[in-house]
Amino acid sequence: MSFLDILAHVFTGLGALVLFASGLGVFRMPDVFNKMHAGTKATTLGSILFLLGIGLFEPTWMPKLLLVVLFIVLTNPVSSHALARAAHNDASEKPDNLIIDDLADNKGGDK
Amino acid sequence: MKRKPAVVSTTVVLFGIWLSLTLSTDIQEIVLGFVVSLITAVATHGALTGNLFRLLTPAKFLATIGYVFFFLGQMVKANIDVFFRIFRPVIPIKPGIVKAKLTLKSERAKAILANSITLTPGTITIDIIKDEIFVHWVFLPAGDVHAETQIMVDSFAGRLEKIFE
Repeated sequence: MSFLDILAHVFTGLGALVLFASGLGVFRMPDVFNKMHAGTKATTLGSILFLLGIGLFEPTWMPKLLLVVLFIVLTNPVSSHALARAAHNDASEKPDNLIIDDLADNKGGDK
Repeated sequence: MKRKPAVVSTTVVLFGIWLSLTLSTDIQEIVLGFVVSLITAVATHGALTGNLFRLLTPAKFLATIGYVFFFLGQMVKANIDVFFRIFRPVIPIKPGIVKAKLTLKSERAKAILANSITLTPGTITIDIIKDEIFVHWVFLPAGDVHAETQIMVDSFAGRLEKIFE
């Protein structure tokens, strides 16, 4: 087993671990915004590590995989913003554990 | 033609994407890719990238590289933070949505700022209204939350300002 193969196993293993943590985080966190923390940050790094690991197994795939990584980094947070905004606009989803909520105050001020 | 640099840099980026997706040295593929990239760039007036050539001054180039590494470091820190948080028996959270002032003018810079904040430790962006950004903390910082949030936003905004303005 070459050094590159070992590195590839380390990367895919770490990626899988981070993705697992992300799934567990979405399950364990108590409300919609905190679930989003786990669901955005950890899936992004998890996918990046996993894809880089695959790229080390098959070096000829690397350019395509780097492109996929770029698109994930650019689009993953955008979907999270859309979900977070939608959740904040929907009063029935509003978690009651927020200690401070400037956005609700801002909206209240506009009316 | 005012948008010429933007069209050229969009063509270069699209052509680069084409080359890394096809990975072919066949002359037909390369010519077709170039033509399609050019048509797309002209038709969209270079809206994908804007004028990338502005980044080619040494100071802005270094600032861009610096930002990429700063961002990657923050992202790894964010994941370690999430990782150790969710394996605790009781998850330590103290959530809150805090606003901060934005000084950036460029819409592209604002979008990058919002994305960066989402991927870095303990914070996600919820909304930007005019020149205010609303950030959700999983664990509110000690002390004055508004001042702390402003410091966190400015640490990104200051770096982005060097690139975009």
